[in-house]
Amino acid sequence: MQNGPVQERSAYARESDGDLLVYMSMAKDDPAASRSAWEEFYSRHATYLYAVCFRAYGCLLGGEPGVCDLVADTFRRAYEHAGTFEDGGVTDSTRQRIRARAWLGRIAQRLVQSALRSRSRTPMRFLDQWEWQNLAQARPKAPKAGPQIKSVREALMALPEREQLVLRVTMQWYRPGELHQRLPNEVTSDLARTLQTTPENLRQIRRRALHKVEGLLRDAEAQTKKREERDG
Amino acid sequence: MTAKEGHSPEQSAGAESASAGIGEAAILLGWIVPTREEDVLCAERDLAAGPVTLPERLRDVKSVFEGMGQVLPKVEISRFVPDNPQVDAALARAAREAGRLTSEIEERMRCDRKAAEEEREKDGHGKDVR
Repeated sequence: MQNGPVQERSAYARESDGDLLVYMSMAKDDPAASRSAWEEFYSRHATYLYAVCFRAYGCLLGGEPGVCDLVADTFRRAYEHAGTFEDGGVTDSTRQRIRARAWLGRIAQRLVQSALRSRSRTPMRFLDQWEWQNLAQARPKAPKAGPQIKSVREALMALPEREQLVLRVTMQWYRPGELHQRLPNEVTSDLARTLQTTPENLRQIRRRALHKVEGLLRDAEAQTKKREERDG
Repeated sequence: MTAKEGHSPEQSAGAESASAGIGEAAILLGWIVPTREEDVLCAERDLAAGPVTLPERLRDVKSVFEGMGQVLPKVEISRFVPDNPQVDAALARAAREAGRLTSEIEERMRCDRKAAEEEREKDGHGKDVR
């Protein structure tokens, strides 16, 4: 990636991400070091975070200005809560970079969830302590992108806009490894208002969309089976 | 919202299983920001296909830090603009190519901006205050 933040060569350029976060967490004892560490951290990850946030939330946040706010806010929270980052005993700098980016992603995701909950322009609440502790925890491993994922991807893109929107918002609460994905009531109500329908109809839309995807998956599976039988 | 209400356990199980599949596909589609290490790696590979340009506002590290002391405009969800894969691909390409935009993309960005401005003009109850 190129065209990142403009910054002079930092004294912290050789520090690992884990160490930068430790320096950042010492803002009270050494504000200058803390700030320099944050600047280095920002320089390393801002372009990445902007790119993934734009891809995920550009359409929900109104494009570039909203995504810029989200990225700035994410780094601000990362600075304020640097002490909650857990390096998991990882010393390899590449693994630390990936771990730090996953952590930044979790912060951004929580901020978007919070914004979705407070669309009625009530002040965005700060993340609770338990949420910060939860952010630090490792997540279940992601499955490999097999043919089933490819089929789901195709099915998702084929859904009507309304169903896509419902699933897209629902997916912001997707928790890997958990079966029941619950959308907060206030988000359900707000989304229903946006679509000029009722929360019950919204549930129907979601259910219908999920069944469509399920059906498409079954068809894809049956076709694969048939092909395998035919090919012996 | 769970898939518990008003339908059979088989339907629920099917919908929830589809939901999990959709969640994983949504990550691969980039609908969800990567929060697991494996997903970060995938995203990095996707992004390596071309350079990404950081908007002017985020390019000056020092001013972003100075801005942290102030009250940031809070993250707000604007009107949803459904994805158009072709426009999205062109937007991503334009971002990589330092902002050369076609008229279709400019129109999409104009609509995005207008929707965001309209949203900002509403009060806490969604009423227009202009």
